[in-house]
Amino acid sequence: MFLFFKHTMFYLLNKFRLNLVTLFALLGFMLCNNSYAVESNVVVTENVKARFLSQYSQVEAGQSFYLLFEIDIRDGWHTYWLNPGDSGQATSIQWTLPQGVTAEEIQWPYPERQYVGPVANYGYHGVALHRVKVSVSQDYASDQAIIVKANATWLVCEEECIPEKGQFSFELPLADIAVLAAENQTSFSRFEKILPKPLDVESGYQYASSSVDSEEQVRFEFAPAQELLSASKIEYFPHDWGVLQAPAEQTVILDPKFVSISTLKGDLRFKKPLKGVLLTWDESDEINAYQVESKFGALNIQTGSQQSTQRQSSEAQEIGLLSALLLALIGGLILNLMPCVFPVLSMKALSLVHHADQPPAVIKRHGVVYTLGILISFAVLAITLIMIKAAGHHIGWGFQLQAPIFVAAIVVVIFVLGLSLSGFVEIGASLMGVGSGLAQQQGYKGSFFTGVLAVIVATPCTAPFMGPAVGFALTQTPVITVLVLLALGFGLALPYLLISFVPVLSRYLPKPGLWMKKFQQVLAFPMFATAAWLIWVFGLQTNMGQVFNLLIVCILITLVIWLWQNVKEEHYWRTISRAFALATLFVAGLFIWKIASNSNDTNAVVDNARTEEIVNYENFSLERLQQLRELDSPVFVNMTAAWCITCLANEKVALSKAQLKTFFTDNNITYLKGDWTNQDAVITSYLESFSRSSVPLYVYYPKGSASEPQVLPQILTVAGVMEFIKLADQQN
Amino acid sequence: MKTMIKTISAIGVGAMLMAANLTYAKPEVGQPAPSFEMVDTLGNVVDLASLEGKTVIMEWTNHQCPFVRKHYESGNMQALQKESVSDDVVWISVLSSAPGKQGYVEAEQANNIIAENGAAPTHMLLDPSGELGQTYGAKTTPHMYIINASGDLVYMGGIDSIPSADKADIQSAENYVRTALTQIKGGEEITTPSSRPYGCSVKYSS
Repeated sequence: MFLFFKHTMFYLLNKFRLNLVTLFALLGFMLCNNSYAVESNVVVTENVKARFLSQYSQVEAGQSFYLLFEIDIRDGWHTYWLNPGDSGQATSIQWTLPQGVTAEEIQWPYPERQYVGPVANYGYHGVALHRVKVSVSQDYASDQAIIVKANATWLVCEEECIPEKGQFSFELPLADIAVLAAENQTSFSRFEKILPKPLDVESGYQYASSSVDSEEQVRFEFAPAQELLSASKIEYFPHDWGVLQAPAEQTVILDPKFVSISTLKGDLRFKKPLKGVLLTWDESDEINAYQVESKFGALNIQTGSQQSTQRQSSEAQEIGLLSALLLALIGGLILNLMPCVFPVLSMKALSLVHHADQPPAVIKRHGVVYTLGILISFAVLAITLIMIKAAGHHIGWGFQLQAPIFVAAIVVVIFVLGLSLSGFVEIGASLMGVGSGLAQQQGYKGSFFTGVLAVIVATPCTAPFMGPAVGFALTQTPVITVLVLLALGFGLALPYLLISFVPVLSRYLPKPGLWMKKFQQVLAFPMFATAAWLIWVFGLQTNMGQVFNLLIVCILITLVIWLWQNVKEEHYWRTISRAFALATLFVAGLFIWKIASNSNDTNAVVDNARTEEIVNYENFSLERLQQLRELDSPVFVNMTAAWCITCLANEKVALSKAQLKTFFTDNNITYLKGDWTNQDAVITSYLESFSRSSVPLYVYYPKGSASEPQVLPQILTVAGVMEFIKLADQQN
Repeated sequence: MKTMIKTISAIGVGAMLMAANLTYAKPEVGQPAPSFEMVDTLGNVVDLASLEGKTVIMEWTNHQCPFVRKHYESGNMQALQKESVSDDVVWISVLSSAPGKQGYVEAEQANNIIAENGAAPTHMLLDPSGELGQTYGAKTTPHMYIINASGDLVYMGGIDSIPSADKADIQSAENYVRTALTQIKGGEEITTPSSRPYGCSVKYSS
């Protein structure tokens, strides 16, 4: 080693012609770096090698930095976490530091659960790291390096335990600018990965008061956080001893609305906020650790956030209506370009405008009357649709978009419309004839009927926009249906209304021409695309066999149309093709019937599934409660709210379980459920009568109008509820 | 779309626990202490029921555990035993180490160790099957239980307040057992009926 230095010296002297002072400074610098600036002495025992590492090799005044206490543990042995569990002892460090330098508490990496027979501990194997934050005060005025001394004690165990300790010291020189200790950075970044990250999630814990037989449980509830919901396994480690039984199984429930972890209660009963570590494993077994804090008591999501989501959803509904109206308006505008509409209206409008002898006011009035004609026609259309819908409801159809047969019907209609747009079949041509006669009439009546004509003629030629708007309107309230259709009508009337007010605009009106035909044919494609999408939806609702049936129906209808259009041929062929067309129609009808009957089955299945979900409860009302009690019927009351996580957890864990439902039915217990999400006044006073100010509240009334209501504990289990009810009945 | 609901069962305790039949109802402070009837290292029958009328202290021990050695090498445990016995308290030391595990001894050697240490328990019970230990939920050595004259458990937990293996800590620690005994004698309520037991894990079989 010395030779090396000697040679380096001469090399440097010759090469760089440094003078001796600088050389010794360089040497000193090198030596200092090789000394205990970045790590302490290593204490080696029979079972471990322990040392301190420093994040910086030189520190500044006013700086905070980290030290790492590293214990390299022998294979098969382990040291302990902050909470060592059932036995063992946590590693601890006692510092001797100069004035102005302070050290904080140890920061621990996430632990693992270690079983020793029926006992469990929390600790580490391999290399155990412990990080401590050290702060140097701003006015640390000393040229001396900081001498850090630490006495560390730890318990290292395999099966037997050996308490060990070590004395460590090292020097940290001060400098104007701090210098990172490069060689230690991997250890520090490794620690960052295993340190639990703070997770800002609302959390609560409660105890399930037990009957004599069952063991008491403690349950931790968490508001749903993505980090937790995406885990395939979760484990909770409390900071304090006595919170839970370390070796006991933890039952985790992950629900979109909450996360709960239940396990056996430890030796102590707490009321203070509890700190703990949540360990999550994802599908690829990657571990993430989070630091959480749980308050004592039932967990309710902050009402503030709940209210804002309610506000947002009502806003969304408003926007939905507005955009629907806008779409309808645009759709109406586009309808003007449809070839079946355009020529008629264009001619009429132009004639309107070119009547030079008409004063502007009259022209304007024509425009208004024309608009009225359109609007009234659409209103009639809307009312007709509403009546059909109402009648359908009465008969039992229901315009449910969920009903597969309804979707199938729309597919057929849209498909035929697509055919019509593509020019395969002309629909509405005859209607045009009828309407134009009325429209020929002069005067305001003529303008009115031109408006009506526009509607009649426009309807078969449905623009891609009209379908969704009408479909949407049908699913909404009558008021909205009318509004949407009126918006559609207004869009249709708009161009000509504008022209009647500002005749100059007529110059910008496009002239009818071949472009209209092409435009109409192009519009066939969005139609077919819509049909395809609806067939996909139909397929989701039913199965591939039904999809086949539907496609066959479409093909057959195309065939029917084609056959019917050949009517114009010779008489001989006419009869045959008509007959054939009718036959095909009959076959198509068979397929339609096939779809209808099968989809009824599907509906039946869907309904059954829905009844499975439908819980066996009635909505709470004081009258019903009174009535049931007078009928000598036992009653179980559950007061819940959508923002109450404890309520949701209890419902999931106990109240919705089949076993409990059967128990209720077998014992003729009526289950009344009250929803306090919006803080209903009746429920508030009911809660107050039991001296409660919040949910959940579970009350059991044994049979008899004079029976004493029994309040159940806040945390429910199936067994707990059944036992409680049995006990209450006995005491009754 | 139905909401997706994931229900997960987490870590099971495993076959070990099942084999060890660990579904004991935990003893609770304020409840009657679990009864037992065993033969001590001197051949005497010890029946908890017959000890009614006397305060009983149960001490789980393991002479090789550093934490037990802390209290014996310092003379702390022996002193406490002598104080108690002279107050007509029945002191029962229990060894729940399984055969082959740390601390396991047979009766003769157990008595030798007691003599060597100058210990003064009224009885020493050998519990190699671990049944007594698991009935009481004994987790560490030492782990202390105090049963009052009516047979109720009034204290369970650690011997004192500083959970270390360092003899120097004994002086500054509050000895919960001594405090409880004083309070029982004076007819007072026990201020610390439960504390964290510290020490080595009890060497049960498995």
